[in-house]
Amino acid sequence: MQHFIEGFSVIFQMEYIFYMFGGVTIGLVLGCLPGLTGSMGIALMLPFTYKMPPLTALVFLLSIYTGGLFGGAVTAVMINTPGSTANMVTMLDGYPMNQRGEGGKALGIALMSSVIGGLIGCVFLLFATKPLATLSLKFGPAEMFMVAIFGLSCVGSLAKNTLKSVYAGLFGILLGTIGMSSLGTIRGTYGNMFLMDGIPMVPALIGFLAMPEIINLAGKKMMTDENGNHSTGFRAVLSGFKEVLKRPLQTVLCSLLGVIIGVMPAAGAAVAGMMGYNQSKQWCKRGDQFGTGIPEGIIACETANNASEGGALATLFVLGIPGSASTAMMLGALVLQGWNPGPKLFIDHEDVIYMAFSSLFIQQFVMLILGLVLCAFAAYIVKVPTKYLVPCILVLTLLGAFSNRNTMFDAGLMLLFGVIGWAMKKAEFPIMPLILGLLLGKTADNELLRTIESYDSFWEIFTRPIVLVLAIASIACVFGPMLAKKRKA
Amino acid sequence: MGSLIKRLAIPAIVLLWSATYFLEVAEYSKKNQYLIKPVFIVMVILFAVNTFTDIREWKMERKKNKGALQISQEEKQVLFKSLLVVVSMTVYVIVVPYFGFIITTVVLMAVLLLIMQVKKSMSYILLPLVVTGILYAVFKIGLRIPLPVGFLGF
Repeated sequence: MQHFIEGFSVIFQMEYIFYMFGGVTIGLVLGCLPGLTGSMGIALMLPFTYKMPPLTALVFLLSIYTGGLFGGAVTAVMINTPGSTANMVTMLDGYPMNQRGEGGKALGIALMSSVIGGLIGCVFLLFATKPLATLSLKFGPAEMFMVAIFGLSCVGSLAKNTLKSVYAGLFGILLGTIGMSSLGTIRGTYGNMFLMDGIPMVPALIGFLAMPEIINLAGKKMMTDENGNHSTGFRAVLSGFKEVLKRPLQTVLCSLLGVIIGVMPAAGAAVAGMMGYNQSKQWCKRGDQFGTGIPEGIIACETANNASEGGALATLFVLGIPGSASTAMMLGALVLQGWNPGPKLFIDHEDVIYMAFSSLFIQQFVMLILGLVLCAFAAYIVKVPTKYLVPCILVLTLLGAFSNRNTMFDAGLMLLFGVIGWAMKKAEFPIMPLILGLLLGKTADNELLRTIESYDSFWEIFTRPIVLVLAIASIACVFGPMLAKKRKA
Repeated sequence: MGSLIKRLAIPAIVLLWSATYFLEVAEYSKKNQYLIKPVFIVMVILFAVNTFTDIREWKMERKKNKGALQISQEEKQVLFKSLLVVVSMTVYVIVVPYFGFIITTVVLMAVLLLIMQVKKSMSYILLPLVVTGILYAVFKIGLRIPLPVGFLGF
């Protein structure tokens, strides 16, 4: 704790402030560009940290990570294209708000939710790092399988038509298992080596989510109602801040959920965002209006995904286990500094790590300032006629899909998914469950295999308390909304 | 009948692909089917239920509207525009390795502006050049992403 308080006096030096502003800006810009993420920013900046002192390197990379998590929300709200998987649920309510001319407000909600989620994540990182990280050590294959099932359990409640929603979710799970299995068997690739690692998420996200919407935009003159009032500028963004502050309970609960999910290895910000959304849908009074463009939908995702950062960093620093691509790259940077990954990481470098925690608090405020400027200007995008906007977005999506792995195959894949997504939309099949299945399908498949191999009987896993709790929570997630619907009827 | 086909086509195509995937996986060891087999079986059941529901809904809608639903002229135009957009992007993906990022992107932008029926002729030159220039600067120079290089070397 002493190191943490002392950390503020160090972090307020001009050098660190400069790196924080620089890092958050890089994260925001990359997060905004479809196909590029904060993780990519960390990868690109990694060589520049070789000669930096460990604290400077950590502060810089953490700043990119912080900015990247929010940056994706800007495009999710404005053009229905999430910058990364972490923000994909944000678009469910953010984009409808933008279409109603409330883009600025939606961005304000996303920004304030991200900041509060990030701050709560930081508080937990500070006080609960050790106990939470110890808990994550108890996560074996059975627990991880149940985490995936818990994530998939919200498939049915993501759309109005449960049947079509589950069908799309199952299709997503099958797509998610394409590629090399944990047994080394290559499945469903049709001999294409680009699919060996499975379906790449970035082209899938852009194709399934953004393309149908861009095609839809081509038929309109403007993005929003042409005669409506567009909420743009600082005032609109600030009105979004108020919406978040009016809902303190949801903000705190979703943040706590995000932290817990962040602690689980490999669960990540995307799962945290989805779980936050699904749980809020069940808790909130206006649960049935989720997906129509209400502030609660944006708050749920953005608080949870940003708060998960605190949880993910807890497992990284205490156990030396990276829970995501970003934290893995951060660990790589620390290894380059001569740090040894593993449980001794925290013991050996406690002072530097606590100072980095101090910087995380400041980074949230840096993000608030820079995010406010970005949101205020990004909201003006609705005023550009679609005849100019659509060609620009289309070229950007192609480039975004390409730059994920530097292959045009991914751009082609994005187009294919775009056509499928458009046809699904026309046939009233929801896309979100498909994406969820795609995201969790591989994890569920791998962990199920490991679970069956580890136990004599599959049912034996339910003797483990964490598995049992997750199983009950999953059942509640499936049947809870159904019962609520019946009660209302 | 057309609206029914439109409703059933996507789930049928999805099921067809899922069946071929399942048959492929069935040839491998049982361990590879732990998740895929139950998922596929549930999909078959859901497909049957969905088909039944869709046919019932379609019959009810037909009764209500007393005949087939007509597609408006505007809808047809949007559909045609969408088709042109997808075709031009597909051509872009195919030719970009041969002609390089700069030339192909400038041409694609101009084609897309044409599809979007932009009237100002200057837009066909200025916008593609500016957008391509910005993207080249950000991705190639700033982020060092190796954009496709054509036979001209850029």
